[in-house]
Amino acid sequence: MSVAEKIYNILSIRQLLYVLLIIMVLIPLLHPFGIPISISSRVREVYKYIENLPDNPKVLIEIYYEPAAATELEPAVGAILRHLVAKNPKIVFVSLIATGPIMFERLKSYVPDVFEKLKYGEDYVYLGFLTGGETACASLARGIKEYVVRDNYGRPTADMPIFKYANKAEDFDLVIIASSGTDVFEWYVRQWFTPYHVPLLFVALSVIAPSIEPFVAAGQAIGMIVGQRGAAEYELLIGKPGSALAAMDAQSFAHGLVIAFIILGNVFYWIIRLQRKEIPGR
Amino acid sequence: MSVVARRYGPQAVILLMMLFLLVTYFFVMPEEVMGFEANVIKWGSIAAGFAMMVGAIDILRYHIAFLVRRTPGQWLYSLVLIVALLLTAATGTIGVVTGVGTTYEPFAWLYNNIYVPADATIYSILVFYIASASFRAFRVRNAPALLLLIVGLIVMLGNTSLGYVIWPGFTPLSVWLNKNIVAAAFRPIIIGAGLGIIITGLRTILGRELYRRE
Repeated sequence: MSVAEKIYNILSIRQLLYVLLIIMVLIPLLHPFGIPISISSRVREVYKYIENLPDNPKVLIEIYYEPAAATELEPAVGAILRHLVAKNPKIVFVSLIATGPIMFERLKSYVPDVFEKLKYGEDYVYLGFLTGGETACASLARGIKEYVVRDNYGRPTADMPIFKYANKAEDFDLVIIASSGTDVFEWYVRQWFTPYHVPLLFVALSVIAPSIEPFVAAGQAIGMIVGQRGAAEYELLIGKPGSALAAMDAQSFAHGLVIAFIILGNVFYWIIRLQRKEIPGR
Repeated sequence: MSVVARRYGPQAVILLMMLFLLVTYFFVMPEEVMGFEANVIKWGSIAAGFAMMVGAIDILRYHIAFLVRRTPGQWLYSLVLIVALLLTAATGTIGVVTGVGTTYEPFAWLYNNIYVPADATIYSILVFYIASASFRAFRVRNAPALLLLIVGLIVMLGNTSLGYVIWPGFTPLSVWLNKNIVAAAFRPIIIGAGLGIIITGLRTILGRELYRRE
């Protein structure tokens, strides 16, 4: 066995990659290096859109993710909320997924500074988990107060002042959909954008982004914040670094390791191939 | 109930509802009609809620059978599932009744200490599989594989701060690839799925989709 083959075999040991991956993630988390990041045009456009919203914007935020996706999506939603709160918004939170209520409580503890500034029932409300998927999404557009009689905590929505300003789809300036899946983006495109032309903003996982790209390209959404990187860029733009920015070094190191393995794997693969070709020629 | 009513009744209801919702989605109708349409959609959500309940009962029935029969290698897991399901449902209901919702401590404890770490762990494990799979999948065996590798590396580097340090152009290039190449690739998939939905709808309207139990 040649040296190249030996190295290739060592690189192919899965456990080696796993251990190195853990090390590469842990080191920057324990000792951040602060590698600079650029801000993409995509995130800058979203920032500008929110910056240009009128005062007291009416916003609906869909919390549609599980705990596994929270580390990628929560920082993005948190950063957008920190940006929005300066405009004294009226925010209606809702979840069309069963894990939504727990994720909402987590979000509240992630950005306590935001919720301290907002008064429940007047500036924001959480409707809780609604069953029915797209039908629930369609019902919300037609009148939230009429559809959801009690909020997540069992309080009647009929007397809540927020619904004087933000009840039907036409009242809203923006809908933000933070989702770990694909379907919910399409629901809002079909039930909120197409009939009522309510601007949509997508907050998606990196792995989901390609499948919703056509909606953004077609102008059915004003833009999207993708993954931890997008969240980190938004945190930079608002000048409030959060967990996404803190985790960027770890993500970079992990990606760097995988790239190094891919390149080295290819180099030794080709060395071996060339060596084997030489053998029959001898 | 007559055979005709049993056979064609549900189909007629589905047909009428579909046509009604189709017309109200595309055309502006009088207020009374739109009010009725909003109610029909609400019924859909209520039915979905009951469907979830039916699902939970069905899961319970399925696993209780394993428990009663003491099926080897299964009954213990069924017991865990039943206890977890009942406990979560009970604490969740108490939370709703007492008006604290999901912040009810026992419910939140179950969720935050069992479901959240388990879910996060399962998702995190994927990272190792993806890393290992990337090492094998990005092997340059021919020209298309080389193209895949180059594009993959640009997108990976464009998503990290490391890419910016190496060359600041990685991020704009990655965004350009996503906005143009990826969007173009996904567009036909979405259009195809949309056409599939239209065909399924038409088949249902024409009575070619059999949802009923004969």
